[in-house]
Amino acid sequence: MEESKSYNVNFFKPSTPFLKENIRAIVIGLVIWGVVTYGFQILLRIMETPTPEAVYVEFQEIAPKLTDGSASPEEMAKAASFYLAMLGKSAALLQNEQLKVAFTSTAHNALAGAEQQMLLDLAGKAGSGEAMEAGFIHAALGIAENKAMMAVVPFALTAVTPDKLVMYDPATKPLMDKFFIHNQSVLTDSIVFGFPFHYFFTALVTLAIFVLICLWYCGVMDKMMKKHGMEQSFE
Amino acid sequence: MKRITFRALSVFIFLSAILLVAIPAFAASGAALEGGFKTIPAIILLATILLFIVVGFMNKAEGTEGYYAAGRSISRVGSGAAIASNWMSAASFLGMAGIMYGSGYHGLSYVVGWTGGYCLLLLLMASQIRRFGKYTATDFIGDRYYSSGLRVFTALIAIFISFCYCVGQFGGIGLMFKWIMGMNYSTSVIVGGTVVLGYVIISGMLGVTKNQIVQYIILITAFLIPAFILTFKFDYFWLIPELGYGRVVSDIVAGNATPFVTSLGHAVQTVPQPEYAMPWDPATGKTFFQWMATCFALMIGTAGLPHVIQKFYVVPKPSDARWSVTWGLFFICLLYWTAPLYAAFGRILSANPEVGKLASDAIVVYTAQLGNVNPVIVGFLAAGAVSAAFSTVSGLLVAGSSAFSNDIYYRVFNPEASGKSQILAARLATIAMAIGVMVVALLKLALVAQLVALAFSIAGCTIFPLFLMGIWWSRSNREGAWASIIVGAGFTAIALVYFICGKFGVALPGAAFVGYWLNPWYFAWIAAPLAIVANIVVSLATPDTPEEIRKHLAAEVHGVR
Repeated sequence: MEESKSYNVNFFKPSTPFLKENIRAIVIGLVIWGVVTYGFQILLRIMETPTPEAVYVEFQEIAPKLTDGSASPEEMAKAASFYLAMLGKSAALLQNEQLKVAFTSTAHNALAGAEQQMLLDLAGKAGSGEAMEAGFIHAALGIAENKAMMAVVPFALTAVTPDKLVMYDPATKPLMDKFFIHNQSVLTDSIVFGFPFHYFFTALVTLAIFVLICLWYCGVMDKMMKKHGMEQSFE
Repeated sequence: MKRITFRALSVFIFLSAILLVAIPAFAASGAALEGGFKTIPAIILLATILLFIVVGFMNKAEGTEGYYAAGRSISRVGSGAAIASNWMSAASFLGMAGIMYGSGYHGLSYVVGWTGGYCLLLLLMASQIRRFGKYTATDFIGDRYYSSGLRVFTALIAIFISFCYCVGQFGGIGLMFKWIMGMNYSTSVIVGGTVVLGYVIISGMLGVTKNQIVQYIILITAFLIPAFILTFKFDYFWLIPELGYGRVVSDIVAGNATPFVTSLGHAVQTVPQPEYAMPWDPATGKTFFQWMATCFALMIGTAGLPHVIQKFYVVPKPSDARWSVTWGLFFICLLYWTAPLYAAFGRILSANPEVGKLASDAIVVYTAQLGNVNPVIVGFLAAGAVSAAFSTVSGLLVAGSSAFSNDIYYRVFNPEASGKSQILAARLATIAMAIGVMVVALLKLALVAQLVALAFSIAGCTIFPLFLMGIWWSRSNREGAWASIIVGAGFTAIALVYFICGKFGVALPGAAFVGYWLNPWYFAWIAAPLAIVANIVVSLATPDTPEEIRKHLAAEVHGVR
């Protein structure tokens, strides 16, 4: 009975000095591994605050005026470029008709006189694949330097008649919250080698630490095996 | 030594041949992303596959004896490269960048999960498995738990895992053949699948031992060269592209302007997209829980995949098993450090809405094209992706069919089977499996990385718990092992049934709940711990493991004297 007991193996009750040392090394390795992988993500989670993008904060101030019609042309232009930035975020958003109507409407109201009709004419051709001369829109929205925003304009316009203009549809608010509020903290806002720090840590440092854990463990084990005379049958 | 020279020589000839082809093509530029038959990539693809067969055949002719004779350090580095090339599949080559391209930071859970698993493997299992001294994962489980029923059941699960793994690979092969040959996806899957099957059968008949070191060198070269070119062209820090692409990430977050244009003439700039880099951003539809669960499931899956574990039986010594994991992980990391670069460049280069929707799983190749990388290099990259999938698929098909012929056909159906009929059974199983995989791949159920993640989740909640408990707790017995694997298989069944019903529009009760908490890509996060609990509870309620097995475990594996 005594004899058979000594053959029990239990990670939490190591029976020999070798196993004790081996398991200590394993636990150290596992703890570092766990902290680096999951600990850091948990830290990110604890520290984060939902942070709206600056353009969204600005838009939310303008939004009530869009509904009651008191927005100035400058505010209309700001709202229009906000819609543009939103539509440009993904191909799926570019299919969202409400947002496209809102962009076309606010851009329309940011313009004056004949340019309003020019915009509606352009919008009427949207999707036809015809080349669009949209320089006046770029100028009015103040995006003439921003190539990424300008590229979205032809895809953001949609055919609307002047009586169907809608500057802001409250139904789109959940979508805005989804795309403009991000989980940020000092960890995501610091820059290392051009990376946001958390991205750098997860994508590069974590993997490097994995390799280091392995190197360390191999070294420790080789020494331990010699010390305890293990694995000699393989030499 | 002779072998090393030969390897170096063949790789050198191959690379210089590519450069020769490249010279006349330097004038060409990739204007269109899709369409048409691409001659140069097709030639490179053919050359790469031929190279693998030829090098493998030469090695076979020289015999496997003395494989490790070139010295200890070579053998460790060499088997590390073998682990890495065995590991790197279409999921690493194409899928990871694809999932990051679509889901941003969430994709990093795949990068971390598919590397961190090696730490678990090394710390908890590698040298112990080697010291236990069996040849395959099913052998280990059959012997440790003294049950041939369990051995057969594990073999079935191992075959199923190989199957799921292959489906993802065939998806990748289909996409690349589509790109190279300009055919539609379904035709490409069928053509690509047939070529793979031919490759497996030819190498099987010639007795080709794959030279995985050459394979690794080709794959990693194909993957790294465009990364240097992209960072150089767009004036990021190109000496270490893995650090240099950091500014691309920031440029995406802030929408910064650059003075460069893509091959389609668009500005290299996007509207501000913090959702690309910020953790579990609502815009990606992925949560903190999903990040953690995916990462964990992939890690334990890595440590439970039969074809990964099997690598440790072929090294001469337990310490080689440990060092080869370390080298293997390093070689794998070279690719994994770089994969997010393609996603980031892909995002900024395809920002213009005129580019339209690109297939995420081919984003690596599209990115190189949009970055105006020489078509030959892009072709080399695509060929690398295909050969990554090829080597993995052929390994998996061989493993799956030999599990069938040894563990199931020979042991269950026909114990008197001759060697000849066993080989026939293995061949037929290979063909049947390849056709089955092709059919499922045609359904295009999910992204490549996701389909492969499914294989990891299954391995993580069925095979991993058996190895973990089998090595570290002698009290864990046959009954406990059955309980454990039944729990694991049960969860797999639930996750799969809900997933498949969801795909075909059948509403099951609680579909939303199961779809979120027991998603097929990561259900192992809870299934594995429950399988371990089941193992403990049932083991404690039933008789102890026979002394003979405990003695083997304690003395041979853990050095108790």
